Amino acid sequence: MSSRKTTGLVSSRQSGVADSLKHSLFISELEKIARSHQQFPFSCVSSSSLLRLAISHNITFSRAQYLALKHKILPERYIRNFSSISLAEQTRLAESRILLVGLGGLGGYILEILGRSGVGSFILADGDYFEESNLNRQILGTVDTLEKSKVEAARTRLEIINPFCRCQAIFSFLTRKDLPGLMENVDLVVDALGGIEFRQILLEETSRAGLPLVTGFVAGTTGLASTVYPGGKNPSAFWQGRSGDGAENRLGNMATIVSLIASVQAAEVIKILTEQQSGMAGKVFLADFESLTFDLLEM
Amino acid sequence: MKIQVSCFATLSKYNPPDGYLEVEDGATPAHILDKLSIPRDEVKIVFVNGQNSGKEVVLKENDRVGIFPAIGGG
Repeated sequence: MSSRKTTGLVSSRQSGVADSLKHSLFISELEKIARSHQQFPFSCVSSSSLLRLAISHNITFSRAQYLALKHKILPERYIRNFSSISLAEQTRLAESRILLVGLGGLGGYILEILGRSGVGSFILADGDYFEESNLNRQILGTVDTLEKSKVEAARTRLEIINPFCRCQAIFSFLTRKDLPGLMENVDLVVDALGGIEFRQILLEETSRAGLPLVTGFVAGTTGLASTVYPGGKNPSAFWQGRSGDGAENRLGNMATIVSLIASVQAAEVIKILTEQQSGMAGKVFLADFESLTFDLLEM
Repeated sequence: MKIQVSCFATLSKYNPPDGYLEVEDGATPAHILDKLSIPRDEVKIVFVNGQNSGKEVVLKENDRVGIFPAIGGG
């Protein structure tokens, strides 16, 4: 028993040494192809060069990106994030893992923004298929994805907008018992659900897991977003009743407000992951296009 | 006294014409709901001057009252 353990340890050490050697060769070649810029405090590398180098060194794309950032080499795809996002913050984003629940109206735009911005790892969950009534607002819904899984469309989209992201796609409607296991592996949860029924459960389980929740909810031309820290104030008063009771069932959802609230949620996620001050903790951001009202309400 | 009232989403049809309502001193958001004939069970949360204040707080001249139904679309 003890010799098997020792063998395992030696083998794990050997593998660690091999990885370390592989990484130092990778970094040495990366530093040769990286270009320095006078106006930036870091070097840059094109995404295509970084991808080729990762393949030739048998390193995953996400690992290659992480190693580049750690060595102050920024993939050029993020150059226009600077200086709103510093190199250190870009590195934090690349190390971050989020659970995004719902890939419909809000979730599609949130994924688009966070994938492009450089969040490193996503768990995506949705058990729904696209239908024609989604096409007015859901960016992942197209004539090609009708009747197809929303979460699969999301995974496909993420692959083509940012191959450095890691993605686990779960094609099912999550239940309470699914959540603790998933939340062990993330830094933050995004509520992009449709309907009020599951929101309270997601809120409770996120709080139990000790994670921040960034939530958004819309109806017609009215939308709201909020950040909830464990034990903090939350907007669950908006979610009283059964799923059919939400105003969205009578008013529908306009693309204008859906994309705006998704942007507010994505901005908040970036702030939290880069350790900036949350702007919506204990508060609710309100936007209404009918009356052109924009406000930050205290819960 | 004059109170600024904003009803959102399905409740927007109850908005007073110019956004203001004349009420008596001592009035509360609950009085406003009655005055505008807004069904109580459709109102899930009320804000006064941007604060989640409930329906029973006593209002002052020029207070802003925001009235919301259940909202959960995505």
